[in-house]
Amino acid sequence: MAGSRKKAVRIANNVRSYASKPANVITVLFFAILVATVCFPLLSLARDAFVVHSGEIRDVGKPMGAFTLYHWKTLLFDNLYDYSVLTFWRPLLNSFTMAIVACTVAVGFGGAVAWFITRSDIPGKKFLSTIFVFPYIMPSWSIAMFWENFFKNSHIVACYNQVGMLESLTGICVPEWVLYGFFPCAMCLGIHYAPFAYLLIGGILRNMDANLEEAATVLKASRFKILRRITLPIVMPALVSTVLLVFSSSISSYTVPAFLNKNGSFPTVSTTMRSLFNTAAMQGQGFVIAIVLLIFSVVILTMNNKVTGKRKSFTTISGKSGQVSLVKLGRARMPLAVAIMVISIFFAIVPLVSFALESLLEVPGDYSTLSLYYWTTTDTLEDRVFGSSQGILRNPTIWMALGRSLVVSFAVALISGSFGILIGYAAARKRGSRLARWMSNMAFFPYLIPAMSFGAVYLSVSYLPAFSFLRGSVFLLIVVGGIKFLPFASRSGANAMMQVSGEIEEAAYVIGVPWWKRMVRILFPIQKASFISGYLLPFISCMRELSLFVLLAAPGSIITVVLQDFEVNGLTQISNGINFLIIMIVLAVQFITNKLTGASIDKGIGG
Amino acid sequence: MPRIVLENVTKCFDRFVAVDNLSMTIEDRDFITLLGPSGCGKTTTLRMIAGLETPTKGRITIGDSVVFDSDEGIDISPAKRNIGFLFQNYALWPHMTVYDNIAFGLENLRWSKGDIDKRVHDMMAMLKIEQFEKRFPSELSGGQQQRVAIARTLAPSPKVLFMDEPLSNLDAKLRLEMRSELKRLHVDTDSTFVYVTHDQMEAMALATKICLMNKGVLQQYAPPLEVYDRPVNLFVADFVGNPTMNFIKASGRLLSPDRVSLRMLGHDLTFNCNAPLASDVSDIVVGIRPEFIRLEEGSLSGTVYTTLPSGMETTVKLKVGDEMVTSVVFGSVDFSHSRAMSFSITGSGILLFDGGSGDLISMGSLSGS
Amino acid sequence: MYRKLLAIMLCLFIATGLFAGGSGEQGGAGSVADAIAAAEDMTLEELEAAAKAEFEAAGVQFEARGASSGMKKVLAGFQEKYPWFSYAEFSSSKDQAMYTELTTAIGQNQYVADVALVQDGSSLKSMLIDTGYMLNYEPKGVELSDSDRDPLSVLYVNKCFFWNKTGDYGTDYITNVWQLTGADGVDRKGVHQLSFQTPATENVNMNFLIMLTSPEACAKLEAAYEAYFGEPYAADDGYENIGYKFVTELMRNVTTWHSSDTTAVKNMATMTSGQVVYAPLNKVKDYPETNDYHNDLAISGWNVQLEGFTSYLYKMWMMIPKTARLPYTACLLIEYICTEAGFTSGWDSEGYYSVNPSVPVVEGDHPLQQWIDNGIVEDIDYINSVYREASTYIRSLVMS
Repeated sequence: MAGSRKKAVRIANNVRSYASKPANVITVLFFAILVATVCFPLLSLARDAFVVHSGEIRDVGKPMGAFTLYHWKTLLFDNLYDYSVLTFWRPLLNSFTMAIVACTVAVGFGGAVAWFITRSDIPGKKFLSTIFVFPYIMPSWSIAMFWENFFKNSHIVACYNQVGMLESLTGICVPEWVLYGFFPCAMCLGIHYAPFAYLLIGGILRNMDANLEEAATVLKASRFKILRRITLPIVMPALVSTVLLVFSSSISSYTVPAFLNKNGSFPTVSTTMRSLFNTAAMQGQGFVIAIVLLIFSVVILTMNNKVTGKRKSFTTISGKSGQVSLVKLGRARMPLAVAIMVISIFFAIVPLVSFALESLLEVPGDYSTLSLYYWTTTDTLEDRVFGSSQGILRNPTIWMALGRSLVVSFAVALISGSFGILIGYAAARKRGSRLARWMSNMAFFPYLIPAMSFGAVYLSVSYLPAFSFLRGSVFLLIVVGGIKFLPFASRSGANAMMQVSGEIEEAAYVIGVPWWKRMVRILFPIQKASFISGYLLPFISCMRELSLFVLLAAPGSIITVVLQDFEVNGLTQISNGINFLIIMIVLAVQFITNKLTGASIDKGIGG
Repeated sequence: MPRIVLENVTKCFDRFVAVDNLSMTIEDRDFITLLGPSGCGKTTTLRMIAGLETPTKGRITIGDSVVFDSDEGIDISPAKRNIGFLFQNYALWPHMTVYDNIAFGLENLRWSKGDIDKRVHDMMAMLKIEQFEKRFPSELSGGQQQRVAIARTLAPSPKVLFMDEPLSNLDAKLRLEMRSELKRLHVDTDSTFVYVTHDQMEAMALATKICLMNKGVLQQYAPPLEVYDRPVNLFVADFVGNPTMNFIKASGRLLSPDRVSLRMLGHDLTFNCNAPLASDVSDIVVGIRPEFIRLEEGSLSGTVYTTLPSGMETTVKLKVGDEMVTSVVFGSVDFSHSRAMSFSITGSGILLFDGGSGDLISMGSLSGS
Repeated sequence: MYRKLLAIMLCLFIATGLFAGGSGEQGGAGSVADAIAAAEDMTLEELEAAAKAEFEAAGVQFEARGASSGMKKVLAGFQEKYPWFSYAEFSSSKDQAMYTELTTAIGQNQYVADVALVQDGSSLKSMLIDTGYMLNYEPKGVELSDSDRDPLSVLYVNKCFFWNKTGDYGTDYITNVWQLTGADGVDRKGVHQLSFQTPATENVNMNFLIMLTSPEACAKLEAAYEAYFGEPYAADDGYENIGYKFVTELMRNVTTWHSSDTTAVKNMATMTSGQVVYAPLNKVKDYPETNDYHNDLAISGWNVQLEGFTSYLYKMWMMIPKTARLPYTACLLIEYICTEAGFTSGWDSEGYYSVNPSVPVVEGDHPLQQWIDNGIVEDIDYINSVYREASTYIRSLVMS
């Protein structure tokens, strides 16, 4: 009796002392939260690839919900009309090559600019580094849209022979492969992710001990040799990291290939997946593709962790490096500067201008019809859209949705940013604990689940009686967004926490400063910029997100849903205008945050 | 009043045992140094006493209260152990001024504004950092940062003060200076100090008692001079003292309970024990501090291998057969290389270690040289 | 060890939270089915009274789902007629979004809406009817053709071929559907620019292409074939039937896969280089007489004739979820949609036709029967009987 009593006391004491350490509580809590919010969708996704759905009963010949390998067999091996080759293997190959080229463009372009900005005497660095990240802040489809607006011409049937900017300015007509299909898809993704490469590689170059290069200079190595033998190997981890992350993002990118495939020549796995999801009798196969993409991403991220983990010591930041001797570009200085500037402006500023312009043309494509009509009219332009269809500035539906989007994005940023910090804290404090490792790995999983299926799982959750209060509510969007955008926030949170030595916190711990005060008064102020960046990235992503919310958002509830409503109903001036507004808001928020706190998205991505 | 008792404390990281079944008692107002090579578990021990690390097993008592007990599941947080902790790299809060760094802990103890202000200024005066009040840590030199860290740690008047290699980041001169100030502080503050270092000189100079550890196991826990004079085993004997002790292999034969005949350095010598001896002495290591080797006298001889003068004293290394013998001579001398040199082994602090276990068997003097 | 235990317990706790609560809040299919059966036996007046009583007792708003924005106006019209009625604002959603919502909710026995207007009969049949998720109500006193009765279709939508007749393809240039395959006939040339919404994502178009392989469509295609090529179709060219041949060549002739019919027609209208767009006839309302392009548009079956077939008519079905809260009101709404007032409140434009023969078509449009005679009509049973084979084939055409 006494023995068991003592045991009970011990267990109670153990639990109490375990719970007295915030890092333990956070780990257990977030482990549980993530199991529920991440593993559940993941398992349900996996299950969906192996069961019969309502539309498939006839083809499979089994009752709904029964286990089946039919989806896998059909998609991967069915030879009827070359089905599996056409719907799976060839799109997979397409996606693969597209992703590889996108990586090359991103790393080549972004890496080159990173090198020029950190290692050469190129002029206008500040301006360049500011605008160069724009394409990453903008939604990827806006670059695709701009690409089409720019290159379409009277010789291409698929774009209805409309005259684009290039033709109207210079008379040059590019061939169709430049406008639609493999090439533009890869280019647009490459340009979209080039800032990402720039930020990662630039970060390493900036922190790299200049002594390493100087030591080689002293040994009379040529500039080129230094670049090849010293600099490149040192930035290799960042390079590989960029390649892998860009690769996994591109391979599952939907919007760009969906937009730039008007001539139907370039099906990818992601567009195929969407079409399979949309077909009652083939939904299971859509889930098979989702699983395949997931496996791809997991493999890629494991490789990424291996590479960066092993070579991290290579990139140690000494913080001592004083003067970096900048490469003198000599006569090439101005021409190079102009070239990079022009390219950057072209992809950073011109799309913005083009959206603004498109919203001002009463007749699309006809620049003689400039007017503010679609911004200011009080006419009802189209009664098929939800809510009001008046001009943008007078349209209560648009402004309400914009406001709601801002609220949702702020809330999402708050949730995923704060969760990211807490997860980062626990992961850094409990390094080596298996539970903590699982927790931080799980926090990255939402990144791997296709947005649409993520949304679908939460739709079904919202129909569970216990969660019916979530149904159609803004709160549901906040929850889903908060989880979906957790990965980058938790990454930046963990990075920031790892950089603060544990002793800084312990110094406050031993004198009895409570945990929350240590967070608020010590850790947060020290890593303010990094943490706020952890809030910024989810905000930006959430403002422009559609696929994640399309099944969950009530009509007219958020701005991207409204945008889509105008788009499908043919009011492209208004959809372009809304697009312009979204990008401006995102840029403004990023700019203001940067000015006030020094935070910027580059700090959020860091490493 | 606060007596710290460790009972069978063990700490494992996965399968690696960092501290193995450590038991020791730290008396009130002791200045204890935890000494040992890096990775020996000394910092882990300190952090466990402070509560920053959770032991795997064992029991720790500070004063009257059990702060940790694995059997009972007790683990009191460091905040409630009434301790101060000085970190190796100071851990000053970079976003707070010197004043704020010192005051922050006091604010937290709900001191009144006036009291805080007075205490902070007292501390700054004590550590001579008043002129830096408004500066941020990054604007201070290493030594100044160290003083701020000490002031911050002492401000709440902890009864026990833990220090984790606090001087290791300072240059040699500053280190000596701070060393004496720390010793003075120990007297002034009237509290118990537990101090981690890998520098045996520092440990000798500061401690009232040294706790020497190796591979997580306590080797010897005794006052510094005892550790120096009577090291319990070869590891301790080797670790403490600079230049290190001479270890000479020998085979012995018991002549009487307090006399041993030793065959060493090619000679037959007689060892007179301070106390009767009752063990097998066939395989022996003789430990001789360099200061017990007198040069240019006696019947032993060798050739000079190298001479290392350091001003006040000179270290001379002799080659005797296949063995190397180190001697320290007061003052500055310079012997030419390879010259023949006679020497004797004097004093009553010659040690006999068991060749197998390395444990100390006996202490005494050598005759016949 | 207890850490793991703690974690597992927490997971279990959350899992129970997720799955507990089990049984739905609805009375089950029985009550809705019973209500529908009762409603079918009532007179209109009795149904009105029952709906009013039900509505006032429930104290909830009526909710509808639908693939056509016309529902928005129907609900407004219904409210005008029955002032006791109120409803949640309507927004159209289609295909995947709507089917996912309906099957998810009803599959968990939860309320989602009181009535739904859906398109794509193939999905409707397999996902909503065969599963028993949606129930049928047959309105009174409407002379429905048998194919519209169960499931009840309330609306036909018309999809035609559009081109600019002032451009390369003048008014009299395209007269035979085989021209759309790009093949040259005896005295006319094929056309080479075709804009189509891909059947890979647009289920209505997939169904259209599948319907082209049906015996009725084949008969029409064979006649047109002979007229165009001057010789009868020889069924020895490896195709399953002439429908497969036509579909294959039509798909291979597509030059633009557009994503919005509205935008596609808009773009085409301004073009003179000859693009043919396959789009719903209702887009014609964007080109009233005041529009610059009003006189430029040629639309198959509308103002130009096309040998073979002129258009594709697909249906919209209206059914009641088995978890509906207001089944009597839903039945009454269906009655209303089948009346002239109800139908025209929602679909008062070209290209929409009521299943009730007594509801007249919009002025200027042709009667439904004429379109049916000259066109292809969606047939759920046929589509379902060949779906896997035919859709796989069509997919292979657009993916390669």
